[in-house]
Amino acid sequence: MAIQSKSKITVAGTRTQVQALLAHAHSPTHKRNFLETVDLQFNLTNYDPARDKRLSGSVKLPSVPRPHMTVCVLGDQHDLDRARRHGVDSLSFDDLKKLNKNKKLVKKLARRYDAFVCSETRLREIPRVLGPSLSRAGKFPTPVSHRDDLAARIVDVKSTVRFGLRRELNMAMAIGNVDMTAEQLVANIMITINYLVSCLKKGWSNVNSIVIKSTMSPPHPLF
Amino acid sequence: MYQLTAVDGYKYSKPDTYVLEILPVAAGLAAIASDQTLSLFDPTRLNAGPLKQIRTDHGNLTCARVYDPVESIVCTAGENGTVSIWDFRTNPIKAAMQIKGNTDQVPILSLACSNPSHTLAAGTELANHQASILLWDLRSPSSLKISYSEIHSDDITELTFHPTTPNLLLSGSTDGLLSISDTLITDEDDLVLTTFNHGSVHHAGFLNQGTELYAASHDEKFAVYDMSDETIDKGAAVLDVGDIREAVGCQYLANVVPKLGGQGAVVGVGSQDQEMFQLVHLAKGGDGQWGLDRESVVALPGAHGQELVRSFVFYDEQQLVVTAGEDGGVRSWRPT
Repeated sequence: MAIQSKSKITVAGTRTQVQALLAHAHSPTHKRNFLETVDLQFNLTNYDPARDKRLSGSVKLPSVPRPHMTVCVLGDQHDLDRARRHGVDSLSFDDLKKLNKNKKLVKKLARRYDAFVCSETRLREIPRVLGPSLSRAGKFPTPVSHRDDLAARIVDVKSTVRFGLRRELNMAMAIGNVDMTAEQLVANIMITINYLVSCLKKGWSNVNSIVIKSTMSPPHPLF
Repeated sequence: MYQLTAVDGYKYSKPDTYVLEILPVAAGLAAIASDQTLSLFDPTRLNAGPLKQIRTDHGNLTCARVYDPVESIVCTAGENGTVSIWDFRTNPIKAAMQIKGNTDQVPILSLACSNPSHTLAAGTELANHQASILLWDLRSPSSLKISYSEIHSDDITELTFHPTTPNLLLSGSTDGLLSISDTLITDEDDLVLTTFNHGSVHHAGFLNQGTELYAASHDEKFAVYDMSDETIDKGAAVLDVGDIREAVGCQYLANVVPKLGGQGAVVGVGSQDQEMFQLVHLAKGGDGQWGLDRESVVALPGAHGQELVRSFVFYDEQQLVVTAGEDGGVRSWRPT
């Protein structure tokens, strides 16, 4: 079993801060016409980005943080049928071949969707059919097999958040939005923090501070 | 479970030095460290210290690769965008040639060498929304042969040439992708032959005479992929270990060393809280399926204390394993 340092933040403490954040977001004096995201912001310490092992990866959250995230299925006939049944946009490989590797068209496709899922048996054709533009846009698909539940796979994609520290010691991740319940936000926050701390050589000793913040709110400290 | 005992070692004198990578060459064991030095050790006499050592001039030294193990030629690169080729046979270690062409001086994070095709590849950090793979023909090192900037959308952290078809280049990035490109092709629209979506790539390399490849992500997800053309319908991993920390009971993966002439590889994993480092065999079972062999794990108790192991080398004939770590130490180990 991997050894995990005892969590330095409590569910109760986190819930208090989340409730304060939500109260602020929903207060009648702060009306917004967009859905505010909730960010988790880390400041690290005792860590040297020049030589320590990179902090970079992804974590799957219990609740979908961005409900309006759009996914497109690039599929064989079986997966196209499934996508249609679930009301998910889809494109066949014939549709993709019609783009003729035209960079402008592929980039346009990349911009239309937040993420792509592709039939596992056809994923490796993607670079040959579309050229480099999907990879270049950071939107290369993840695979789905016929054995997988397509709807569940799409939820997985929508629930997975990437994180990556660049040269500074600060990192922010969007782990929810202000229309989620306090419990959903608390769960997303706890999973993320514990996962991130498990990826740090010195665990909690590498963490200087953690705050949560919605787009228009002041920061609420968690650690 | 087998155990090794530490028999010899050396500690870099400058405090808080990380030994980043050790590489075997005919002249001995090459090592790069965070004090910007490149050193040559005798792996059987580590306590004597480096046989030779020079300071590199890369700003911050990020990577090293062996260009020619027999001629003991090693290349290094770093954050100021420079690449150097070193000949270990001379005393002192001399730069074998001047590599030029990274005019924007973009930081270099990864290197790959192909001696048979005289090619050197360098992977850059993301800069100005672009991450590039720079290629040199070492017969004319003063200018770039070609550079590719469409393969990845983020820092290029791993590069390796195919063991038998040297124009094929494996690249891995923090964008999560593993791509195989044909470097004989200049048009970036047709360059990439296959791509897998693994997760922010820490280490990746070829297995089984280059028909398969392994990948380890920065957040410890490990998998094996089949990249041969005959199996183009295999878009997902043929072995998906998931989080290797849960699969084998460890806190991190240090590195993977392919077995020469064999199919598999040795995966080095550590638990710094337990001051432990272990070597786990990645091999194909009787059923032809890849797996991590938990029965014949080799343990190196004590490891590098509470610091991480970064690199290891094994010398099969001498029954010797050498490890390098963030405690500034290079240690050698033998069966108990």
